[in-house]
Amino acid sequence: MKYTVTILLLATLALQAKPVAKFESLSGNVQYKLKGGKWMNAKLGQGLFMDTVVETGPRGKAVLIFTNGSELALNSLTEVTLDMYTVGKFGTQTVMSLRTGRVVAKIAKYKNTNELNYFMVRTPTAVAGVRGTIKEVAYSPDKGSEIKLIESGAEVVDAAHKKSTIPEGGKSKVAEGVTLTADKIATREAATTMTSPETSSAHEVTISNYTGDFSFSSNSRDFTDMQHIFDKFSETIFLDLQRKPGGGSGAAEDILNVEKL
Amino acid sequence: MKRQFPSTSRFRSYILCICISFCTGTVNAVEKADEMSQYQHILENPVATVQDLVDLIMMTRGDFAKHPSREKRISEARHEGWLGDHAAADLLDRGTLAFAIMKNYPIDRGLLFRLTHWIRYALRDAQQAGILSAKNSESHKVSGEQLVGAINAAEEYKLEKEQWLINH
Repeated sequence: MKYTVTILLLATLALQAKPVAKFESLSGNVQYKLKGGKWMNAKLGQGLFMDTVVETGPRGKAVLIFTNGSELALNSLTEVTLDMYTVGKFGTQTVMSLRTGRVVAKIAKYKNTNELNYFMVRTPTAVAGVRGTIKEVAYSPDKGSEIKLIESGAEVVDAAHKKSTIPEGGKSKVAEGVTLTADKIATREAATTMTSPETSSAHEVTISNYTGDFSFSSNSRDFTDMQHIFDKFSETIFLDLQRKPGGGSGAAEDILNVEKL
Repeated sequence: MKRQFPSTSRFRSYILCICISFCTGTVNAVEKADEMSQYQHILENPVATVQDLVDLIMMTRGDFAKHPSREKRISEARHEGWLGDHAAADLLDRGTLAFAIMKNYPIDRGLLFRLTHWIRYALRDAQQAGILSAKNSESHKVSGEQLVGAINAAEEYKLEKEQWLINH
């Protein structure tokens, strides 16, 4: 009887110890560890178990492939934990935690209508569940969570249990206590774009402001050259003044004194 | 039949080659491990220091291994003009972080930062670019996780900008 129980326990442990994902591609510094364990260098094809923490260093990138065929690409400076991976009649359920950085998840297509591959990424401010195929989730303490859907839609739940849906191609941001849903972001970006003299789409908004704010020349190269000259000139003057507290003209000294106060 | 052995000098050179390749591999592995352990130390730090900032920026630029000692990395940062007079052990504030980001990444510079190179305008421009939170002032301290998040955001901003320039 004792032997049967031991064998059953060992068999259960062996089943649990099956790797749920492996490293598909690696570049730069990538390490992994089991929760509470020691960091080890990642190797191609290395199997990963539940409760494994994967970390990419500066200039490090990795792609994990799950047993159901889903892929997870980790950008540099990213840390994720494989919290749960279950397989059943319903399909598969994957739950991951993103501590910092950015991941792109490409969810495997299900074989029949009764099966679903559910993929969930938790960040400190939001939980993003994916119904579709490709999504991008990012988190940083200053910016909060950013969820972007490249293909199909997703649902986001913030810390206040407020649920919102992101359509295909849309994105949502969850900062402390505030959720910017996809439609609000689209409105805001469209409004910002209108202030720029250049015609641009919502994705180009940051860059269009770059040229729009100071466009005193029709030639963008003139503008860049002027910027370089201006930068060098102001750096030389102000950094020299900072190095020599006694030197420089009276007006500039006054400005520096105001800064010190 | 007499067996042919390589001459002593050739044998020595073989041994030397094997030793050199082994040592180089070990050194590279040690450097990589050292960089990752340093990065993990930064990430877990409740309050980041100026040394953490310099180390992380050097890592993202790929210059960490070029300047093996901490002192060299600090002096290099000072030479490049993005550190000011801060000591390595000083606690990192948002102003210093913003200034380092503005100097190392192609963030859009406002007119006042261009003119003065003051920390307050560096912070304002970094906030405007969405890299740092607008809620904090320049004297607020930064945790290791926040430092990593900010550098990550700056890296993404740089990539996005490069991508935009390629496409246009």
